Amino acid sequence: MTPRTNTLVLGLGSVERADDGVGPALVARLTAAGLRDADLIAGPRDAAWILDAWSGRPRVLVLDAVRSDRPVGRVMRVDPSEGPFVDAAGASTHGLGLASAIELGRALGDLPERLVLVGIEGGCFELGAEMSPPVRDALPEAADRARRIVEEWTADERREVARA
Amino acid sequence: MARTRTIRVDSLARVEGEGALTLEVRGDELVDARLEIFEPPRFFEALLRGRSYEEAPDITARICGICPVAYQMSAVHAVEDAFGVEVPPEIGGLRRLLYCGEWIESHALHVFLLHAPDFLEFDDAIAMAKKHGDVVRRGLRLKKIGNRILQVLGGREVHPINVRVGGFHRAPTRGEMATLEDDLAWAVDAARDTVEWAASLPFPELERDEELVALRPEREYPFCSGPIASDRGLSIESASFLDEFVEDQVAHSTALVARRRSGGTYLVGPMARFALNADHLSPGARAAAAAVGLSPDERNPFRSIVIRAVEILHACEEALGRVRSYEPPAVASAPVTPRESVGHACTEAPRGILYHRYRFAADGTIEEARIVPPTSQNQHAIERDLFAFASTRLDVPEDELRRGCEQTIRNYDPCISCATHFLDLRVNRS
Repeated sequence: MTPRTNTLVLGLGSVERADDGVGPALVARLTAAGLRDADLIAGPRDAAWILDAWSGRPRVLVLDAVRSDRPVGRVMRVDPSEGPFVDAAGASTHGLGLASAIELGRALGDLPERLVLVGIEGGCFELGAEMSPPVRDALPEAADRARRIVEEWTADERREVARA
Repeated sequence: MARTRTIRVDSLARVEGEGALTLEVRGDELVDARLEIFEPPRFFEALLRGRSYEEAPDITARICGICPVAYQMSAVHAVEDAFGVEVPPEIGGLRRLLYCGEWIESHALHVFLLHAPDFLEFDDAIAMAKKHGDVVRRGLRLKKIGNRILQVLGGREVHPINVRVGGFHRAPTRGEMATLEDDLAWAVDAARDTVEWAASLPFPELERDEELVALRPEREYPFCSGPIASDRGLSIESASFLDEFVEDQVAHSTALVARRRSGGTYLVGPMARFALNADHLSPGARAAAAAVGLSPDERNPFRSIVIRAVEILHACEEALGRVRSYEPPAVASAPVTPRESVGHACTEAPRGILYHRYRFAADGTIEEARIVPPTSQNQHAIERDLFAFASTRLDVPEDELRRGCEQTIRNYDPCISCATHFLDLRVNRS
């Protein structure tokens, strides 16, 4: 897509796979709420696609389902400096996903200046299944955190522009 | 008492799917190599029952995130076969272009990011990117260009939505098509370099002798048409697929495993396509293959990475030619009238022939669906390769043996399941 702003919000995952639909669901929510100063897109969790999508964008917020040891429905913020990351088995339709995109970007020197992931711990990634209730209930909180991050970045950008 | 040692490998991220490999060793002798896989098409066969023929391409496209076009193409051709739909040649040309996009993106992913790290002894593409950033960038850009073709023709970069029985919902404008030209011109050069680079990789010794099965159209490199042929004289129409090939349940796998009805095993995919159709490659691809000494007699499965590179070049050249000469078709799709019928089709997915068969009620409702993906057809061949590879290397350290077996499996780019990625390797020594 043609960038309108310096901030890209990227919702990853497949709506056909239960909790894997977190990313697209959050993008839909933020779009409906009229989030400003960011371009929002939903897309596949495909490393090559992600690297291309964020190429040239200084600030990228990724929204995605997460698999860790936390309770299902837990909203979390992850920074790339916490890596290295490994793609989770079972949550991807592809051999190389977001974690690979981050690590490939790091290896190639192509990471956005600011990159943050807001994720929701998922429990079910089965094809055709419904999003699990704790994950669905966590969508408003995750959307709110995403919105605040974008607002913070926008405020920073305005301060920088004012200083310049 | 027999001594048994089990080695488990808990993660193999570069095989698309979920699987487990067991090598049974008695004394110094390998007695069995069993690959256990889990695959999703069976679930889809049940899901398709009761749905309209119009939904077949979009539902089956969901089976695989890497080769959705193959599923769509086999589906639309099978439906058109059933209903006697005549598709104009210009729509056939657009379908070939769409397929070029899929081969480029699928092969580029496999060659550069999944398979090359094996040959260069890196753990993965990330480690490889630190040393060979230019090569990884080239692979990513090639893959992106394949996905762009899917976007222009299919409406989306993954899981195209513009394909329908009879043709397309909407044909691209000349202007939309022209946006691909510069990228494809770059891709042709990049693909030519890739053939040379792939041929320079170090290849383990292995010579295999399987019956090679691929489509063999009269005048073109195969995508969507042509009889099913083999290097041992087979030549049949898709409608006879189930007369010649059967799928068996095997105890060690939840997947069905295909073989020749006569009992033999066979192989589909790039090596089979190249062996049977090398004379139909684009001129540049033919020249590039000849320049690196690749012949249709090539039978070392490890050199399939070079054949994939040649096929990327073919797809880039064919795509560029089609983009440059593109005129929007008069109509985007042919008329379709359902009837009570049975239809079959095979098309060439990146990994080999993909067979679809449907039985329809008079209103076009799907009563029965059958899908035979390339990976289930190649499973015997993969196991036989593993047996041949491992049986002469039982004395190497187990880590090295494991890596070699993983690389052997990756020769086939198996699309085992689109749900998870996992290989569990067990070496049972007794």
